[in-house]
Amino acid sequence: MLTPNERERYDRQTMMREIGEKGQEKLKRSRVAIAGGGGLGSPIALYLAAAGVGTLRMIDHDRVSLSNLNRQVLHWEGDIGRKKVNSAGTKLKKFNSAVQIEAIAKTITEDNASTLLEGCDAIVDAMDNLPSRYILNRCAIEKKIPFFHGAVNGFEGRAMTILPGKSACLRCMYRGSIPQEKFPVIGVTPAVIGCIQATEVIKYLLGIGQLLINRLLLYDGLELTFNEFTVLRNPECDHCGSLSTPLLPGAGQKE
Amino acid sequence: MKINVEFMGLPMITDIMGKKKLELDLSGNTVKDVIDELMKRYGQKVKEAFYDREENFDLMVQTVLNGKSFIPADKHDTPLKEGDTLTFMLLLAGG
Repeated sequence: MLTPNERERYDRQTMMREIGEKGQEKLKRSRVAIAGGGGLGSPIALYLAAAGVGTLRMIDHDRVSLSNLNRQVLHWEGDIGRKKVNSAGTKLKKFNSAVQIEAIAKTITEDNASTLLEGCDAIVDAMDNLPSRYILNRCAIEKKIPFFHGAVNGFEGRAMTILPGKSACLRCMYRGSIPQEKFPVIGVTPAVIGCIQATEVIKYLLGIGQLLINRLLLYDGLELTFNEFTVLRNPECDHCGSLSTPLLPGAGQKE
Repeated sequence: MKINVEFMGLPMITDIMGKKKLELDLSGNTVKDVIDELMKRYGQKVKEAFYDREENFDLMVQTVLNGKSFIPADKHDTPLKEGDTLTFMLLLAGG
């Protein structure tokens, strides 16, 4: 049940036929893990909190530094030195006090990923390196939790939604690894991609629309173009190849 | 054989070429032949963008055939057909 305050707060979105009060209640009951509290994690967390997602699990081992502030809009000058999950949690609670924040200041590893992501309805990729993304991808597939990929560099961004066992995963596309390096980026790029990821999460939780599955979205901010590549599921994928491959329904609906 | 080649977000290559798309008239028929032809045409800097010092193909460069098949570096012997489009793009890992 929504409270009178929630009815008023979410009025502009519950008036949408696709959402309504029932949809809002679904969002309220949902728990979303956001892996990374930086450039992508900031807009993802803000907009999921704005939309009324009930519980956000923020996972990030890092502390805020001055050079984060060109893009990580949840962290401000006074937060330098604070743990990012705490800095983010403070802002998100002030923004929407009803949202439960589960702040986990840990590095995601092969060993702890399953525990850290336990009980979540969706996992959002807001990482800054490929090895961690592979860990999340594998864990999401093992736990059959939808995974919402996003990545940025400079003015460019990519996004794809992964429904384990039903659509291509990150590993169907990418192999090998690359060293974790300092990458160039301007804040508006993760803002665009993070909002696309948040849009996908909301659609998935509500069971509406067409998800970005088997499609890699390619955003180029300099050219201001959006393109798509088809990503085919690789039957020999070392992460998802062993899962069955039922025919995809017209839309990626939440089960 | 004519192959369309396009680049996404690889300024280290496109700045040298002065363009992001081109049509190659290729004597060979594989992905590797395309890369070899680009290096022949545009020189050492393009080679350095594709390969590291140990002559391994740079894992930051992704190769995609006709906007749907991701071709890993160990499958560069993949044959191409007349009119195919090969896209080279930067693997993004930032967040």
